[in-house]
Amino acid sequence: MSEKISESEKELVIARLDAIPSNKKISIGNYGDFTKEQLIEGVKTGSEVGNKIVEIELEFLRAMKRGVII
Amino acid sequence: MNVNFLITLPNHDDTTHYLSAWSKEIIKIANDFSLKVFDLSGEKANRKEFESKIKSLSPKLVMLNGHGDKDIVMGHRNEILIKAGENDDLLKLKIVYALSCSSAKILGLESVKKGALNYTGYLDDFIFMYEPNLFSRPNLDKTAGLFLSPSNVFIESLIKGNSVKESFERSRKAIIKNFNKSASTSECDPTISRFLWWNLRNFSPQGNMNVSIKD
Repeated sequence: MSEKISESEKELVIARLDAIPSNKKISIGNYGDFTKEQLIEGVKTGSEVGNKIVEIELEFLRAMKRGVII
Repeated sequence: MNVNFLITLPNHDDTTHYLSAWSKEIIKIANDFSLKVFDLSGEKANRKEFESKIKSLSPKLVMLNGHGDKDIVMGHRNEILIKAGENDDLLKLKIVYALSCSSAKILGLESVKKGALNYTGYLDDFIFMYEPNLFSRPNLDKTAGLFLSPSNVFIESLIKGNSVKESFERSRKAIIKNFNKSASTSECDPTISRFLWWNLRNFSPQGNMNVSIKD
């Protein structure tokens, strides 16, 4: 993701990640398997997987806004 | 049908453990439809075995489970099985499904240029959610099933003799059905919808869409 991520975007993504049930994990390709807490930490620190999850969340929200989800 | 089917089943981390477990049903269906199944499980999902089997058996249908990147698909302990520009000619005259990250982007395109009939995979990371308390019984994990079952729809449809086009549409419909369920009903975790959408967006067939294993 080449665009700079704003603090408000980070906060939005963190809020959305926090809604994931604690008893579930997320497999994200070569990045590995993560709990929501690990992903939230990744977003906060700007890690590679953190930036990836921000990209996914923001693109999903933009698609919803455009009304062309699928 | 006198068709050979080669499937790789690496199993060295959570992701490959789930992919392998959910592929067992595929093998059962392939046997039911009288395909000759050759599975490279665990340690056998290595480059030497893969190259040997694909050369000697000339499977019409190949399924690659495992981690990947734009130009590669890996096997057990992430050994590179196939790489664009290196050994992608091994996929010539084959219908390939890669349940692997990103490989449709370069490996898919390049293998089709080298003569693969079709290469269907993902243009970016394949994502799924699962329930760690069901790790020892992954096939009972309904959360993982919302992601992996639509993937199985694709390969099972190919096994049944449908074209890539038909199989791709069936699989897409299965993802959309789960997406709608997650987005609009209380019976399903709504937080999975963004990841189903992501997989759907990146699910990508390369090459001839009209081929089938019956051709």
